[in-house]
Amino acid sequence: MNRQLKIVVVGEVDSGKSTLIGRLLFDTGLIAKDVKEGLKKTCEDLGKNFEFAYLLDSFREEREEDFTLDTTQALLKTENGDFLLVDVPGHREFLKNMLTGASYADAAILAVDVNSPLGEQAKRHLYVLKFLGINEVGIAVNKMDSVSYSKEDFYQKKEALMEFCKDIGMGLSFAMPVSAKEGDNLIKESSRMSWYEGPCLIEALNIFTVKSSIFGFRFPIQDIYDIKDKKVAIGTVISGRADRKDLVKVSSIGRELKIKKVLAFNEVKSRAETGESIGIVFDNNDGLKRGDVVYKNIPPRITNEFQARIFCLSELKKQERLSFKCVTQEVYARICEITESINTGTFEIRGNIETLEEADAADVAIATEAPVAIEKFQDLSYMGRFVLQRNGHTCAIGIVC
Amino acid sequence: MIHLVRKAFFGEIPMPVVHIDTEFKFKEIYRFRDKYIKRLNIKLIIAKNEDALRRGMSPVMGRFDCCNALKTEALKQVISQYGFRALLVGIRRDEHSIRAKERYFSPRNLDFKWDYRNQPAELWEQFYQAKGEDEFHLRIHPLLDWREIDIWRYIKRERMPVVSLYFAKNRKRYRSIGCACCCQSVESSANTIDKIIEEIESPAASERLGRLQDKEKEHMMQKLRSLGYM
Repeated sequence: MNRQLKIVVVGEVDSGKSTLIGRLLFDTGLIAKDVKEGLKKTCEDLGKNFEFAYLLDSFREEREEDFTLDTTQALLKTENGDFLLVDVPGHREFLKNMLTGASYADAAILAVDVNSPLGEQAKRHLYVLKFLGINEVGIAVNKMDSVSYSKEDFYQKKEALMEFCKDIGMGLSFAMPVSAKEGDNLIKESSRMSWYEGPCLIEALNIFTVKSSIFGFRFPIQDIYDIKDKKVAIGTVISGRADRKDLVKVSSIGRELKIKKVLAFNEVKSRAETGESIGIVFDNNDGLKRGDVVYKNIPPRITNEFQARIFCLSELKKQERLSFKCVTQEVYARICEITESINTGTFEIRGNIETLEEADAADVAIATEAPVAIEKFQDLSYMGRFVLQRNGHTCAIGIVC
Repeated sequence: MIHLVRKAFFGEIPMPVVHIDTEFKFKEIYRFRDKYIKRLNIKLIIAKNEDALRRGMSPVMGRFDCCNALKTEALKQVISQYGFRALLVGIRRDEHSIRAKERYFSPRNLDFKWDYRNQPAELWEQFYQAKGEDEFHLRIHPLLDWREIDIWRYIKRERMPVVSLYFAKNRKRYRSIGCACCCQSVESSANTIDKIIEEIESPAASERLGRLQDKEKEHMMQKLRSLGYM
């Protein structure tokens, strides 16, 4: 399948996120006639004008109460390629859904209402983007139709936004005035804002780029299969490549192994490369198990204590026993120190505390009950990101510092 | 879906395959099923809500009730009969805007309800709530982010067999198939996989245009799915 750039649209409640995506899909001709007609009728029944947001907001309560409950995705086709747009809810109660949507993304658009100051959720969303390592962010200053397309209002807003982004150390790819409802500056430059000389939104999406990191061979074992009486280690290569006959090491064992065979369905391969889901037969398969990380040359960091930054999805206590999951590894762990926490809505900072609240972010030290193989998030995101779970439910996400 | 399982397990299909049989499916579907199952040596479980069928359940009694009885109820029965903890289901986001809201790992409680107001977090398409609790079963949706066109491109690449109804005959073809009584054909001259791919590339109509349960009443799909429909 083609890998499209995934763009999440974030922002405050009622900043027009779903409307923006709906309008883009509509204007680029991606909505089938029967869907359009069905929706027109729905809107009439609800006594409303045509709502572009309903192309995304499909739940009854979303339509009746005009909000987005859960994240969804839609494909945008442009002359310069396809983009997958991810819609997320703005309400704080649905932060978990926002995180789910944002974690899919490579880049982001922040939708802001030109009439309102930057609110708590928008600030939190920007913080979440920074936390998730999404550095490609553009801003759509929306509802320009409601201020008669005023140049002054736009620039005032833009400056305030740039200042906030500077404060949290986030660079911006672009900021532009739009009206999602009226379709201004979305797929073509608007004649109602001739004072604006930048690109329209779908042109600007091409500014986004995704960096891919190059790293040594990393193969986290997902399972061991018995195939025709042979032990085969199954998994996805998350980085680098290894050839048949190469010598590799395993995180939990330390001894050297030789790759005997690389297997795919109906195929014996000579090498295993990044992104491939494959099977590997080693010369000695004793003791191999799910959670082991196979590597070549430069080893990952193998440790049972490390510094991390976490974002809480529920209340968390220091020293509480939780499950730590990173790639296919799963071990019990504890937060042994909370250095500093930040309220991601008010940006209030607290030090030396015992308990974290939902939606807090914090710098912590984590101790695991068995050694784990990790990397710094900025070096190799796959092995530098993790979740903490309580009874199978994710209560925090984290990145290794 | 079955082909993906086969590839993931190096040619084996280590789990049984369930066909939710309403008895109203196209005869071409039954023929295809039986041939395919035999060729790949699949353990097939045919799940029917025999009670409802005996009572004469049919779309005439209302599409919502019919779908709910012959599909959702039949699924409930087979899950409890075999004690299944997890099901691989081939739904996709682009089929319907309600399905677009799904997760890859989607828990269902004992009553089969989809708690769509409180879905688990899924991070980086990597960390899921993959362990069901005792009172739950999991729906796993590996094809969630595939699109209709991806399916056809994949069928072409992997040279997979398909039901003949998808190909145009007398300028009509089925784009989405289920029960014969509730599917309408669409106008098309696409009689090869390449022509189907070409046709889908321009979205003049949606894939499930011919699927009547999607549209009978507004939000019927949401109601069906919240009760456990696939």
